[in-house]
Amino acid sequence: MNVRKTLQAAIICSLIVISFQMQAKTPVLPDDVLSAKTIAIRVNFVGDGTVTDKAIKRWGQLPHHFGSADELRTYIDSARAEVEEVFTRKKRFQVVSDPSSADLVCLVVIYSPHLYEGKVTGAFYEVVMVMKGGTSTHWNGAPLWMTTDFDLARKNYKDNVAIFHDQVFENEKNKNRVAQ
Amino acid sequence: MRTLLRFSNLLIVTVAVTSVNAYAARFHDDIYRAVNVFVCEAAHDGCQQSTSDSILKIFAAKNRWTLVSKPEKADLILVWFNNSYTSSSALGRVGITNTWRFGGLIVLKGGTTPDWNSVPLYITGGKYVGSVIEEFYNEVIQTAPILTPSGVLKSRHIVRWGRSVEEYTEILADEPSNATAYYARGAAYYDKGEYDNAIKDFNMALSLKPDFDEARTRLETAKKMKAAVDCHFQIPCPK
Repeated sequence: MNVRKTLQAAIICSLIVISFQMQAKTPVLPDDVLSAKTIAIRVNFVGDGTVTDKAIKRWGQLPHHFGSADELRTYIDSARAEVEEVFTRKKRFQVVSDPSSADLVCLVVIYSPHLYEGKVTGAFYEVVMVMKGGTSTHWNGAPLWMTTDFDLARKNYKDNVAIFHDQVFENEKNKNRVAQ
Repeated sequence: MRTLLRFSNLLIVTVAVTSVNAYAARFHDDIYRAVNVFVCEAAHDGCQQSTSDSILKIFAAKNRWTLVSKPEKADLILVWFNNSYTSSSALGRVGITNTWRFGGLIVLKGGTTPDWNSVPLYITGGKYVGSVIEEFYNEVIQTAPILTPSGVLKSRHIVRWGRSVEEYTEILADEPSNATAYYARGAAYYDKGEYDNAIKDFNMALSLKPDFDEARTRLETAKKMKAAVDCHFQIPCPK
């Protein structure tokens, strides 16, 4: 009998611990994010100069110094399209083109690998940041959500936008649970 | 000999023009206008106010910006982040471990700015975020609007290098007793080779502010240049 009770208590305790751990993994997002309906996407590329070293082409999908403004524009447009595709697929926020008429702004910053100690390392740095949009009455530029990534081989901003969505859904689920 | 002297004159002009351009402002005006700054470290749950000792020390040492605890009370928001990545590989029996570090800084408008804008004012990065922030801070100080920063910051207009004569004229229409603006417009005229106008503006700056040493120096240079131009760089100039 005692063994049974002890086991029950142990299971309940471990369930409580697991639920706390699960909650801890998902940050509590502010109402500005949870009440938002529209989002604008902005992509910034940080780097300068032109392509002088043909060898950097071996990094393939990674951003590099661009030969012209058009080349840079093409890269940024393609990154924006990739991010927009995630938002469209997740169906939580409507993507709008003008940040001043959006509830939120998703800012993606891609750092040129050249920036790292002046060497072509192939390392890839990026930031995905969500902040208040132009419809916000009391706005400031402090990010409401942000993640950074550092990778040697791939672009992660799409995954990070997906993680942002997962956290929004998780927060909404928790909010509904509390309301019920 | 005459060719050499002409060349040296040309060199003087080039150096003078280059030295004026070297002061050209590097950052957005909002960065120079800022007084209150909120510094935070990026995270999934937003941006937590920075408590890192090394970063707070940088701000304490420079003493240009005041740190505030809320982004809505800030003129500028400095968002920083750190990343590191360790890769390991085995080459024969020797294990190779590389640690890549990256620190980034994104500067945005704070809540006190009246016009909404999501465009980052400045983005930079490097190996260690502490040195990235310090470098940015130093550059702001070094390229900040010239002369009497407190006076300039109180003014409705920031007078800085690199603007056109027309822009300085607009500033002067609003603030006709702004000695710095006369001085800067004089320098702009000087750049264009309009030494008569430059001399007039340097004189005006000096009449408004008699202890304006930089204006006095420039006035002398402009007078010499005017004399040199008037005699088509013949040295010595006929009197």
